[in-house]
Amino acid sequence: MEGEGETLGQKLMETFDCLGELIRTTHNQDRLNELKKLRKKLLTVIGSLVEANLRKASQEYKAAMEGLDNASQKIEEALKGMESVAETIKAIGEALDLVARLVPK
Amino acid sequence: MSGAIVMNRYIYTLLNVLIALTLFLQFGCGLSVKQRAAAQTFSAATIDLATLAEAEFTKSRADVIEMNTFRVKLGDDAVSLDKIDDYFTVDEVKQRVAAANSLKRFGELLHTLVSSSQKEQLKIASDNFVTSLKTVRGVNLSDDQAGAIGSAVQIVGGLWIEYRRAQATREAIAASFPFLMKLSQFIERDFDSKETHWFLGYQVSENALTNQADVVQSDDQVRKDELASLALISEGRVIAKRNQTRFKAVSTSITKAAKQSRAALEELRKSLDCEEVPTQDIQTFWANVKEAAIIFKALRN
Repeated sequence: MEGEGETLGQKLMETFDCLGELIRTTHNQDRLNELKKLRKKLLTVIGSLVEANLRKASQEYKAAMEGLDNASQKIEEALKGMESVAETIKAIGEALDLVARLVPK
Repeated sequence: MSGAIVMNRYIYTLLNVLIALTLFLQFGCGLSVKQRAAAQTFSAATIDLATLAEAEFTKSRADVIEMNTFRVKLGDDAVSLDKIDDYFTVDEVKQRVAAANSLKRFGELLHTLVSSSQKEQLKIASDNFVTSLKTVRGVNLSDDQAGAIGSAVQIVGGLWIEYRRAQATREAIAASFPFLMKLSQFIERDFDSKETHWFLGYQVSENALTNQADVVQSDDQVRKDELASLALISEGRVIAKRNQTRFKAVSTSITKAAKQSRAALEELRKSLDCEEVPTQDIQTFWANVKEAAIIFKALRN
């Protein structure tokens, strides 16, 4: 997180909006062309900043996701373990059937 | 030694083991009502967050493509048809959707872990167990005794499951805590209007579209008498405004859901660390002890 106050991205967006307002009210063609070039440049700068941050964040997402998937796998194993309690009782019952056949009268 | 005596010794040994296990597990360590509720609250909050975020990552890419297409139509040379999705590439969306899915899966698994019941399976297993026991030669059990053994097996099995459930929940939260916090923070950061991330990427397309519509309208070289031009300008403005309203509302919901999910996680961790036993759990404990006492009395007669 980028802390309190306005971030660079926010400041750039404000500048972009002001530039848009200037373009709208400018009628001198040379001046207008200059402003349009500046607009394009500013959009490229903001874009690069956003792109770099998003790419970095994707790697962070990936790392955190891998860690979480390991924990999820542990829960799945635990759930199987809980199901196995009833299975174990069933198995003991089956073993008793076997013992019943072996115990002498 | 006759088979009957051997078999009855086995049964008494089994009973002693059941009593010991019951006492151990009763004092041991199932999840308290409060802990279970905290886990369910956290699961629900996490599933909500993941579902919202997953849908929005996909939707916002579609919006950006729509807005950038309009910018091209309005002659904005700052956007290229080759990169119409801007920074919201398929890879960026895919990674985030996968992360949201991972979060959702964890929430669902945790919910199953704390809420699932094996009562039915235990009942079937214990009934089969008693039936098998009765077939053993030399074992003479009255119906009451057989029923009591079945109940005892169910109680111990149930307590063992509760013990495993609590242990697994504690371990899962301890192991996943940093990753859950991070994923929630990353999602919040993406949809935070103050950050230079997803939100700003979206805002760029939206503001650029509105701005381009203004530029075209103020351009003296563009013929304003052409209905087609006017319709295009208006449509561009409408799309930008509509998307802005929708995206702001969804982003607010997502950042709120992320905060709620983290608060619920902190609450869950605190409750799992807490040794305090609530009154409701003490009452359940005594009810179980009384039931066990009745069963074991029946078995010893």
